[in-house]
Amino acid sequence: MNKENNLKGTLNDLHEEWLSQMESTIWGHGEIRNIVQVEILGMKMLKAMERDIPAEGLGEELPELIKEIAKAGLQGGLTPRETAMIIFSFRPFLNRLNYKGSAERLNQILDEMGILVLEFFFESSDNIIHTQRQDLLELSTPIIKLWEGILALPLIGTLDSKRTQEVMEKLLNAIVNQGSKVIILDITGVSTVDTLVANYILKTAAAVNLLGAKLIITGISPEIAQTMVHLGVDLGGIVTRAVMADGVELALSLLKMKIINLNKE
Amino acid sequence: MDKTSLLKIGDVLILSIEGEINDFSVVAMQDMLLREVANTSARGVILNISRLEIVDSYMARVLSDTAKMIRLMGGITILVGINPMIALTMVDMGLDIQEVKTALNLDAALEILRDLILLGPYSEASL
Amino acid sequence: MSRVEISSEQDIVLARQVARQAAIGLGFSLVDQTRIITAVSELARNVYTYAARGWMTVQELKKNTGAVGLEFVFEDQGPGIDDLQLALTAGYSSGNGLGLGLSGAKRLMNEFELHSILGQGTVVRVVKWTK
Repeated sequence: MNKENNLKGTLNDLHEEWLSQMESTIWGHGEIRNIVQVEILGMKMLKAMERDIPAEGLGEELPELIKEIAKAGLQGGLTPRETAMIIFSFRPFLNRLNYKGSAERLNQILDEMGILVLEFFFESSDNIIHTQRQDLLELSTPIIKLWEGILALPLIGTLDSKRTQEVMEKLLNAIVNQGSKVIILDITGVSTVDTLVANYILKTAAAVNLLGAKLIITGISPEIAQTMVHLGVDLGGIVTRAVMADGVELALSLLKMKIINLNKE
Repeated sequence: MDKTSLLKIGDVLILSIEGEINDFSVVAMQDMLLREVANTSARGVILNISRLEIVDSYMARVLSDTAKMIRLMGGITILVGINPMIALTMVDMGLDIQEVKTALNLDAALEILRDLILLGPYSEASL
Repeated sequence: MSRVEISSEQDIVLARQVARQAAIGLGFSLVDQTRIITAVSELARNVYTYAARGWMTVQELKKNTGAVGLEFVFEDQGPGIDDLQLALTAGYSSGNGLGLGLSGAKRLMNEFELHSILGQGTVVRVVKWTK
């Protein structure tokens, strides 16, 4: 019992020393919102390293702790290096732990943990990028109901195969859900028109036709027209108009409607 | 697929295709359909495929052939009920159903047929 | 891992059902499910039409990046495919032909492998990965 108390005492001492060391290095520099969290994690780390770590690998508990440290670092605005340094900051304390295995093994484990925290760090930032990307996707591909039966899809920015897939699915679902008969695809905002974009347009037209609706492409500028011809892009029977307004007029007439100026009556 | 799943509105026949179409049933379906076209002098046939899980090349072929047969007997075939997932898959595969027009729903199909049938046999050239 | 014998039209339906269950199980999107089932339908039908008898095996795959995928292998001891290049590029409007099913299935899946020996048989392997 006494021995255990001594051990605990030692760990607390180690923890305090570690904390003051941290303050003078990493935390001295940047703003860390999760200081308390890292403090707690630090204590957990010390405890976990003292317990039995398997001969191979890191077991289950340590990776979980490391994951939390990575998250704390990411959220706290630390760089990957600074986050890894949190792990390596334990190095001076290794030989003072009550660990049953060899000092060599403990050092090796620390190295593995450092690498693991970097991996988790990057994995988390990938997730954030993915979420931001989704948001951007939503913003830049709105499907607008211009009128009963007419949908407009202004494409903005660059197209990649993942985005085109998602936009197409969204469009086709909208057509079926809203019973739209004419779709106006406006490409004024598309930065480059290459064979990828051309294929996307052809594919969209085929899919729209299959559902029984019609596609009108608008926003083909003189430059894009020239590029398309030079590339040998053949839009086949797809109807096009130079500007969106003309596309709207055509769409209305296809639905047997037109806009009249009441003033002229 | 039997005669009871066939509806008639004016001179338009409507058939909902459900369940499995295979080499055995397709001939029976085409027989039944064409006989009805003959009996009723139907000018239009609407095939409702909203119950189909997928359309593969075999099914596309069946639909295309059926439409060609109906055409030879003076009828126009319109497909309704292609769901977006199937449309996307067909386009990915490069599948094309020749000879068959498509419409979003029954209303749209009937409207198209009304125009076509009213305008006479040469109106399709404009489409 | 499941194995389905294909020797009747009903088996093509079964193959599709198995594919569908597997795809739903791995959490594929609706449209990807449709693609998978359609590709399986094409390949299973090829086995039935040209070899009269064959097998489909389904297996889950895992990459070390964590991505999971579905692998389908279709084997038969049929006549084999004469001109692979032609079979894979044959146009759809050219009536019935191997090209219809094979190139379609190829476009719907992420990986596509085909081995065929005239007079001995054919093996087609396709894989679809979740994102």
